[in-house]
Amino acid sequence: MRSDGRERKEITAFLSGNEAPEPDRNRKEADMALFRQQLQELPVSKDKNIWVRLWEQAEYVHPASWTVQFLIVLAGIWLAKGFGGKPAIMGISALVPIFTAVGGFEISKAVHYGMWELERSCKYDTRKIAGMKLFLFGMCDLAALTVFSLLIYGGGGSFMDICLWILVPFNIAAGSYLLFLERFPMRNGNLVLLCMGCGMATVQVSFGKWLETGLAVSGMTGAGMMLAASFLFLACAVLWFGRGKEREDEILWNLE
Amino acid sequence: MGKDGWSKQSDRHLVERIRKGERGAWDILAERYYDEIFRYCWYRTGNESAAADCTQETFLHMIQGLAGYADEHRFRAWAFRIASNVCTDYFRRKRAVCVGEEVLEAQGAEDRALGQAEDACYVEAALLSLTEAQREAVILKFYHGFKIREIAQMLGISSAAAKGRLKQGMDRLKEEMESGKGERGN
Repeated sequence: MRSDGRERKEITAFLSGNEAPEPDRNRKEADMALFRQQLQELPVSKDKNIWVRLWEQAEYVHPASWTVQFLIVLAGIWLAKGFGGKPAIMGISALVPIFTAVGGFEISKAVHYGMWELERSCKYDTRKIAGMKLFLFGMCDLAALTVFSLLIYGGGGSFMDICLWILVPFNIAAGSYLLFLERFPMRNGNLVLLCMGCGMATVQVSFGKWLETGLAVSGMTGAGMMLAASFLFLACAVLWFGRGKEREDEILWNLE
Repeated sequence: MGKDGWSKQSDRHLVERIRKGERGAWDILAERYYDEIFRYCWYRTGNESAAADCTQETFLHMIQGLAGYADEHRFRAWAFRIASNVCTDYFRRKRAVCVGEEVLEAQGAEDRALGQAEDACYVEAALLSLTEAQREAVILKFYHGFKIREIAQMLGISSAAAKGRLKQGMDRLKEEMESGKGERGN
């Protein structure tokens, strides 16, 4: 290692004996004028409106994603109308992580190996694309959660039910997916996401009763703290996911 | 914003401003990199006139590429990558002219570079004795201070390949240095 460093020093010293000349001033000025003229002829694209960009991104989302998410909302409505009461609440709650996982499929496309290179070669910024997708699916999730919450509220559920069975599972599921996508950007991640969603739904339904009993003792304070903690977890996961998109250095983007 | 304000801004901000239509920001960017790109082209071509032509071509390519340029964090590396491609094209064109005119010494750029080196100074001759690929890696590393990873990205090769080229170039330079010492000793 030491000899390598010495070798480098020797070569640096050797090469320093060959200093490049300064460019000719007249030629440089003429070039600068030419560049300005060329730049005037260049069509400069103005920044697009955020809604236009979102619409462009939405066009790239597979129609199957929208369809499946819509069907899941319909399933929630069917559960609420068909069963009512606690079974409906638990059924809708179980749908939340699965609904969120569908959004994760599309977001994961930006982190799959290969997609990075593709998007870069298409002159797009992957971080912005991932951010727009997050925003897009965040809005879809918000709409679906509102529908689910209204269904639970309309079926006689309380605010605590909405927190415990809709918001907390959503925050934990979405946060977990983002952490997973950031940590393990694998090609066949969709299946894993779906399994995670089903696993979380099962855990919710299996252990939700115990949790509810515990929260009944601690009351609104316990539910509020749980909700706050889940929001904090989601916020941290979003930040970590966003920061991860800056790690351009780790992947070489040549196609050799 | 005045040019004084722009001159303190990062490359990324300047590129963003150009893309938003503030073309004056270009002057700052061009001024910032013109001399450095010229020096790079000079080390690559070993000829002042060719270096000036390659520098001009590099900047013209940069202007054309600005609209679609997305790598806002690495403008310098992007500029050098274009310069590298322009210099490679220069050597290709030069080689094609040699073949077209059936010049006897058309045995490749390496041999020609060696031939040119006879009149050149000692260090320049040593540099010209390297293959084009080795010279490119050595110049980017030792004259412009790029890291192996950056060189690899610029040349569109793997880090291992860039490291290999650099090592071969350094070994060859060392041989030249040692033979030079020997000749001087005699």
